[in-house]
Amino acid sequence: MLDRRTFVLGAALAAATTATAPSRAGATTAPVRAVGAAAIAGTPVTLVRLNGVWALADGTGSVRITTGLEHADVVDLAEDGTGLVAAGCLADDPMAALWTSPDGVAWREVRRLHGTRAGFTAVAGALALGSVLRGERASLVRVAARRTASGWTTVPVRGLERTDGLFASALAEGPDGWVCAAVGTSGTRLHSSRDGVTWSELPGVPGVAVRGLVADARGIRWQGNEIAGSAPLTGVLGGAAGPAPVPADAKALGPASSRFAWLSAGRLLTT
Amino acid sequence: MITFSTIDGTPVYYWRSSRGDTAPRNWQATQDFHDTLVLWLRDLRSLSSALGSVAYLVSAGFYVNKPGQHGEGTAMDLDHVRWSGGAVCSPLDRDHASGTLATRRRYLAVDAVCRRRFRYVLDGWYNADHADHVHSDFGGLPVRCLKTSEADTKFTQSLCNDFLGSGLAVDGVWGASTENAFTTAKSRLGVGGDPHTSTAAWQAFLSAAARKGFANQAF
Repeated sequence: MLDRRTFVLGAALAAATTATAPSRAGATTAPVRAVGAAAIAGTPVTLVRLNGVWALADGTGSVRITTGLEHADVVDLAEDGTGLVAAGCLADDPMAALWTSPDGVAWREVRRLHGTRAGFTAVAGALALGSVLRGERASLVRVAARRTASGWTTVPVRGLERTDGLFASALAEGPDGWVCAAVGTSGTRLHSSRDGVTWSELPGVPGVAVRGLVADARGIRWQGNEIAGSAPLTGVLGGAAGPAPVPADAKALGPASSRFAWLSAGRLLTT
Repeated sequence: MITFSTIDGTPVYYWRSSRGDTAPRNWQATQDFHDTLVLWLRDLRSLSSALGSVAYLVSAGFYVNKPGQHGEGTAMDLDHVRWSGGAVCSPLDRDHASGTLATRRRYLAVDAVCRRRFRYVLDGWYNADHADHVHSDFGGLPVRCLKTSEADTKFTQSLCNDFLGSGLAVDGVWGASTENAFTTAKSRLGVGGDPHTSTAAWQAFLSAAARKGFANQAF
């Protein structure tokens, strides 16, 4: 069933930026770039980039300018048990970083990988995956960070070190451990791990760029867009796959709790 | 983001699920990237006109919902080019590693045409992930030949090997041997200026190399 929460990010953000920064009034609204999805008190949210500002957009029409992400190039967003965690790198200097927030509006950097060109590209709860980057920003070697009692710490990921040039595009934790996705030219490769350290390959999803995963008692469900054509698709690993019940232009954002979030014509949808 | 099935009138197919498929595909990219693709294709047509017109292209993706330039709608993965005269260049078939010199030269010619418009061009010599396609994106512009770039250096080394017989190790390290071979290549192609700092000089070098590649001529 489609739960359509109608709001238009461009209009809402224009209003928000006008209210908070009068000098921006009248600025041209750039195309919406939304990254990741999560839920706050059951409400789906995503981070959107418009006019050089990161804002939190929720499913009720509210768009709020964030603080603490001014120098962030955010790639993914997830719930971490107490609030939200954002993954990416510093905007002008590709250095992998993680940020956390209790409310999705006020953010604080909690981890930065110094001394290497890298970026985190997928996060779920207490685990973040990324890549050390070559000069042309191609993926070289996988990096991972895990949240411990003392903060986010880099950890090994055996069986997942070689990226084959691919970036992690989705990550989920379920009752049987972790599952992650990485998109290549022919489809998505999936790996699973019981402990988040030792990984083994699962059957892939050909022809689809998987951008969201949910692992629960029903199995491993995925959402994504066709590589050729970008049609929104959902499926169950090892089971049925087909068109997602969203408009044809919808882009997969990731899971918001147990539902999948999509962006379509500036609207956040969940299925 | 715009949707397109052709670039400047030339169809773009998808073969990753069914080789030879000529069903129209609805690709997406930003308007700016699509505009650059049009310029790139016009370069390709002009520089390879002896092979006929470009009948069709095959891609493994433009906008693709994943991290990086593909997710921004500012990248292309090129699998195959087919000309009306019957010639092909097929990165999908790993033409960069072909045992036939003419095939490698044509691959390098297409590679060179990509570099005229895109700074980050990742080819079969760059890494295993790009063994079966040529990736081009909007990163790192403007176009130049950077000695510190692994991608640029490997391309230059491969070019010198297959057109000058330089015998260079394709290791991505711009050392004295690569420098000497590149200087010779520039001289033989009659290219002035400094391709390391001048976009025009680098584009002139690439055009001259591409012409030789499409004609299967050493320089």
